[in-house]
Amino acid sequence: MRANPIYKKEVKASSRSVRLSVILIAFNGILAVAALLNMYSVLYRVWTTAEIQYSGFLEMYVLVTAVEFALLLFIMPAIAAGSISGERERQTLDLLLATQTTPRQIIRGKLMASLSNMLLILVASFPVVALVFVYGGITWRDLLLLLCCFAVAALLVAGIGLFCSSLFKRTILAVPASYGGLILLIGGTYAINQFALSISTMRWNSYMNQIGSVASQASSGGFLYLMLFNPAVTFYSIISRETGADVGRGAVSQWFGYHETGFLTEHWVPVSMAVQFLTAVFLMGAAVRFIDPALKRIRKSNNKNRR
Amino acid sequence: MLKIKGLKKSFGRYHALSGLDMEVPDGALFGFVGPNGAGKTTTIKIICGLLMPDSGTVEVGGWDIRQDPGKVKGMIGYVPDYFGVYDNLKVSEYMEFFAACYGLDGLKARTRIMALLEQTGMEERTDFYVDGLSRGMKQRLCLARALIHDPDILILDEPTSGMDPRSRFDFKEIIRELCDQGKTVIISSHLLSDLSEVCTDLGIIDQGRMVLGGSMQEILERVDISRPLAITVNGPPEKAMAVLRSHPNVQTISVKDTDIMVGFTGDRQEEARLLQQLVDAGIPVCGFARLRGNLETLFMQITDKDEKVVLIHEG
Repeated sequence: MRANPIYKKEVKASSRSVRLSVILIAFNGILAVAALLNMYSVLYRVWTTAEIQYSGFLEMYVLVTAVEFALLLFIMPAIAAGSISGERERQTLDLLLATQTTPRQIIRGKLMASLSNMLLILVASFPVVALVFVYGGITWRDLLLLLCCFAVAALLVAGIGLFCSSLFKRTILAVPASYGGLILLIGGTYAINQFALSISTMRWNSYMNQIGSVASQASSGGFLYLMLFNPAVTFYSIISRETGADVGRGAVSQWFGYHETGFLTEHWVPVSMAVQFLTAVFLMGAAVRFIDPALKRIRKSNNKNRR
Repeated sequence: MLKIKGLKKSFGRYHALSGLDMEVPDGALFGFVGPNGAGKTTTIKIICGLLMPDSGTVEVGGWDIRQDPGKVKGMIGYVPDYFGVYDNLKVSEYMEFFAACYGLDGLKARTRIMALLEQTGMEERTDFYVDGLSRGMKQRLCLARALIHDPDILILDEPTSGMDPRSRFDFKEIIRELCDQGKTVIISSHLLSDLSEVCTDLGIIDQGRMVLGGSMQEILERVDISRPLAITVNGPPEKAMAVLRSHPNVQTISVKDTDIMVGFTGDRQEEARLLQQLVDAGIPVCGFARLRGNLETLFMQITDKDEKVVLIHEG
């Protein structure tokens, strides 16, 4: 099988750029500082109280993986959002489209390049994350599940980045749009649920006052399922299960009031990963449409017909 | 090789192409000219599959651009009016990348790359970063890139703009060489003198329509016909003036000493007949020639008119 030429070129170009090295140093530096500070705090407790709190090492795992996840969400849009708009700015996109390389191959190559950069960053951070194995409490299976979560989140964020990069002609617009989209996905879904919960609580309060009851069943209702799109919630669910913070039911179902337990809340992690994966695929399909001259024409004529 | 029929393309309310018809014969070196905004780049982008037309057909080597875009792209090499280079790649890597975009790799690609870099005079710069090349060298690299898949048609959009005279000369030589190898070359340019030197065929586009098309020879003849005849006689011009006034094809006459400028509407045979009449009348004619026209004159004439659809040869 022939390697994607765009991917090969991107890998060669990024290996020559100082950007990736700077990102690697900064990423691992931040992770290492977080891990060492946590270890220091555990050891300090040992010195002062002569008592070893093993939960402190689990806290380190949570801290390191949370920092890693946050950095992933922060770095990935910067990598992906300039990929297509950068080609436009260099005036090379038309040259690529004039070759026998299809728009689908171009997007696939760009995606693979963005993901391989992120994978390199994640693999490089393994030594820091592996510190937790010194003390135990986390299994390889847990770590693998977390890696899957990272991979899906990276795919989703890369999808948002590529979508914005194809939509906007300039990188200076595509990058903030990608971050905006990500904030909307993470903060927006949370805010909608919080808002729905507060409305529901107000209704329940007035109803309970009327009947003199104290058991509130206020909830954000169906809006909870919007959280399936939220990679931060998936990460939280995994971490809370692995560290035992989750009590019986799916952690998310307890966030926004009373929710019936069902298939989705019981299998929140795999379902949310599947939803995020499909969203990423959809976004990349849209990115292909934005750069494909033939599909652009079809879209335009469809709009004309509708009018 | 290339057939365009009824091509229309609008951008909002602006009609870039309004029913363009164009035909480029196999092996031709076709000059594609027109004023700014006439629709040249839009036409080129449609041919290359970078824009889809609103209506009309484009056939390249018998393949329709809508039905078989992949096949058409495989037959076309495109050099736009910008460089489009990756600064962080070396010349050889840049070429290898585009070879891979056409499915070429390994020894076959490397052999082809070396041959093209040699043909374009870039063989000593294979390890140079593209960023460090001069404008002329970048243009040569773009030409080599467009030829990587050995296309049947090469489309060049303003290829010599910004080049120094030496580079322009060298570039024209390369183009001629490619044409000799049997490639069909379409050049869009504002430098009409350059085109008249190299092109075998010409198409003039204005307001999205082809206003003049045909072989360069026919077009230049057409230009010449509109130019005056310069006649020089040995002695007083009165006798010659009498002959000229009686000739039905003579429109205007102006005299300066023994030089007579005649506005003459006739082809080469009629010119010969007029010369014969003057000689038969015993006039000592020592100079008889059409003033040579050029593409600039024709271009100015055509793009100034209101309605003009003149196709010298069709089909």
